[in-house]
Amino acid sequence: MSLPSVLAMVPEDSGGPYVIAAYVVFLTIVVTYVAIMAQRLGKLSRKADEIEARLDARDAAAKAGSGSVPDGSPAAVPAEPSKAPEGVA
Amino acid sequence: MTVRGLRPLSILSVALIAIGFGLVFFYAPLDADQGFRQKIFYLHVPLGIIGLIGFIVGGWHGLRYLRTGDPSHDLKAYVYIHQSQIVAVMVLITGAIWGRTAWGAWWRWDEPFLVSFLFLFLIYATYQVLRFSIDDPQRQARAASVFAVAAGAFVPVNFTVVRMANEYLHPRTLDNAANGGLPGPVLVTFLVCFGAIAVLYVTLVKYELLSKSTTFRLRALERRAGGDDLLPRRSAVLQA
Repeated sequence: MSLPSVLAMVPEDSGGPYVIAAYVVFLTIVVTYVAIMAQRLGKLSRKADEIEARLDARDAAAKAGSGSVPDGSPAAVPAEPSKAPEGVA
Repeated sequence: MTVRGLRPLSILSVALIAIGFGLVFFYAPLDADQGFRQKIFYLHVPLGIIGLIGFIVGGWHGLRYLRTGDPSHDLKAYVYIHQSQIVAVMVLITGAIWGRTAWGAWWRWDEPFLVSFLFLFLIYATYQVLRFSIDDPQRQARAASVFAVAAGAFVPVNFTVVRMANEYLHPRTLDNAANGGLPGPVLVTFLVCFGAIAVLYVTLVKYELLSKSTTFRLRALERRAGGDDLLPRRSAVLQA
């Protein structure tokens, strides 16, 4: 069943196009919201994973006893990860 | 909550919405009075009920924050209220569309149901303004929680008072349902759509909470990378 054939079945005399519009508005808002959230979440996750990998590599190097700190890293770095911020559900 | 945990919930949401909308258009009978336009009811009414429940749940979490001081409740109050604001926008839009087809007008100022819902929406529209106008994180969370509790308590009061109005145009769907006035196929379709919207709402709440927790993780990693682990703690929502 194609979309035009479905739309052709919609009665125009009792607000058919308006009903379709209401459902389209609902789906548009939900899909747009999910798309924005997915994009944001993906960006944040990638960035967090990237930083975590760099920190792990730096910690591993420090534990190996090299004593050297990779370029660009600050000299004073806490060995343990910071406590998770409050409010994380 | 992880992405993995969200996946089944998301799939369930999509499946229930597909089933619900399928029932709306291919199973539920046409209403004798309203005809095809009555089908907005299966979308508009569940959205309205879920949105109001979300505001109340937000108030409940605000109350729990005030009692325990646990910032996760403040965060949940924020997320529930935010999601209900989005749902409220959809309620107003779908309601206006139905009004246009049924009454010939997008809006009626003499209808208590409409005006009271708009009033409630506008009250909640000030939530973020109040919240982010306060810099101190603890004061911010406390003020926002007091707001959430007061506004959340107002929701059922407002709902009850409006239903006591003698003159109204807006249909009383819940009264019909409670009195067994809805035919079987209509009731089944309504319940499936209600379940679909409820699951979708919970999914979106979890989704936003996951987004916030990922933000917190990133901030913690940035502090760790910067050696700046002694930064004063900020409120959960402010950090996000």
